[in-house]
Amino acid sequence: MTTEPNESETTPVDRLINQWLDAEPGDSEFGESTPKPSEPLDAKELCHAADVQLVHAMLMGIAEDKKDARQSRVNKLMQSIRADGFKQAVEKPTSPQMPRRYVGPVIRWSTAALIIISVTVLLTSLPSNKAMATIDQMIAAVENAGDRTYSIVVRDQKTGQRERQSSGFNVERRNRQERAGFDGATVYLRGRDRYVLYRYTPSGQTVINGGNGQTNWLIRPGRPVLVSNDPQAFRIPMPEDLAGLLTLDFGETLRQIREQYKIKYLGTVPVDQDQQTSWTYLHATQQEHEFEKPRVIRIWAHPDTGLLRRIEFADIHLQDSPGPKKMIIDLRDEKPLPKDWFTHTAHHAEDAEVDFLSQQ
Amino acid sequence: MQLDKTQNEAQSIFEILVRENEGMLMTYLRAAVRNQSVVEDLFQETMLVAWRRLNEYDRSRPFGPWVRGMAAKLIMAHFRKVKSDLMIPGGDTLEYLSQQIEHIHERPGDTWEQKIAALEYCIEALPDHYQQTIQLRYFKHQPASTISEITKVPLEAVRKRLQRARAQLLDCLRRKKVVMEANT
Repeated sequence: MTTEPNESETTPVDRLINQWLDAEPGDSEFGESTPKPSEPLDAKELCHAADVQLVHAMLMGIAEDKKDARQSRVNKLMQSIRADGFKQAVEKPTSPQMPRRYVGPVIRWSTAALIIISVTVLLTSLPSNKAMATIDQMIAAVENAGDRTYSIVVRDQKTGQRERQSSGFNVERRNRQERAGFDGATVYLRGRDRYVLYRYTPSGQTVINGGNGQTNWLIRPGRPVLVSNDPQAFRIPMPEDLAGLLTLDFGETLRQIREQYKIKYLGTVPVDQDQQTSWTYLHATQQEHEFEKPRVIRIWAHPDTGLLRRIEFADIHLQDSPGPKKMIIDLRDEKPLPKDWFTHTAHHAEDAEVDFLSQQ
Repeated sequence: MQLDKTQNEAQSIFEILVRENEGMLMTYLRAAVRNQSVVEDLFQETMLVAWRRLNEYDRSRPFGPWVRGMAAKLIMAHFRKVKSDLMIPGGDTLEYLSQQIEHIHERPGDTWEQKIAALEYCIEALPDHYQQTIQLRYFKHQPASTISEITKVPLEAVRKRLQRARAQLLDCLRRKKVVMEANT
């Protein structure tokens, strides 16, 4: 068990707020009456208490943020209003009306139904329309894009320290077979299914995965080059939190995010390395708050073309590396790559030993 | 029941107002009332009263303060019956909360969630142990006693963490101009 230091920092107003916000039935402070301060609170303390209550309320709001709860709340209200029927506020015309049978009940009901359907469609789509349209544009842009080079950086979520610069990471690896990490990696992409991924071991050796849509291959230091026609061969060991979400087919990754996350469009912003362009910015949060997936994903794309500029996964966990990490994939270049770049021969010496593996 | 066209249209327009203001009103009620089932009841009651009095609404003025004014009266009526749900007594606190919420409502963003999106950044910026406590308390809906069991941290320390985490979130939201500094 650990203890929390500086208990004495608690002020009377803080104690009062804690009692109100966190006391549970059965606690002595969860009484029938309002918690009473020992001395009357001044205006500043009252404002502070109200502000903390506001933070509490906002937290409850974003934690609840599920469409179902909100939808049922509004539906329940609208049912009550319909049941309330003729008591509603709109004044009915008092002037004589045409007998109803001449108005055309079919037209009246159709118009009413059309209005309700239109409003419902509009309302259910309004908040996410822009975000969905943007991510759809991004998926289309990925599928039609030319050659792209992305760099990958992994940082400690808390300290911002690069994963490769972590001394603990290197020491742990020394006596084992070295594994290539994602921090400092570079990925080259063409279309949906051509990729080359350069990763580096802690001692600086290079591991290269690649594929041209027909064959996959793997180049490791001091070992034969492996080539296979099996589409599943030499799969890249993604961090567990990103399994099923991040692939080198970024179009597929964006599709998964579209399905699994609640996406907000947050306007256009510059990114660190490029203050000239205002990039379209999307903020994706988990719909169900699953701990095993990144809680937040941030996405930047070109405002006109929708080309993915940067994607950032927060709160991911890497094997053998303590604490939550942030993985940032950044577009570095769009220059065309050599024609044969996605074949293994472009990445190893001519005389390297190559093993062709048959598909099981 | 046969509803006429005017009534249908009025209901549809009112439904738009409800959806646009649901997040705002729920935040106001949650900030003022402890019991969540009472919060839900007050939301329904406030909006129903607003519907019935829609012909009194001055359309040249924003809908939010008008509906919060009705909510404040219902909250005070509730407090008179159930004193344990009241945190800080008096209409002044409710008026202050209303002003803070109006300030947030005026921020850029199509929805209430977009206006308070900075809160998610602020949670991310919390130290790990505070972030975990906030996650368990709000996102996993665990009481402090259960958080104490899960994290093996004494109950009082869990409450202290919650208090400090909320204080840090408030500071962060003030820096990001989501919450105004009080003028006292």
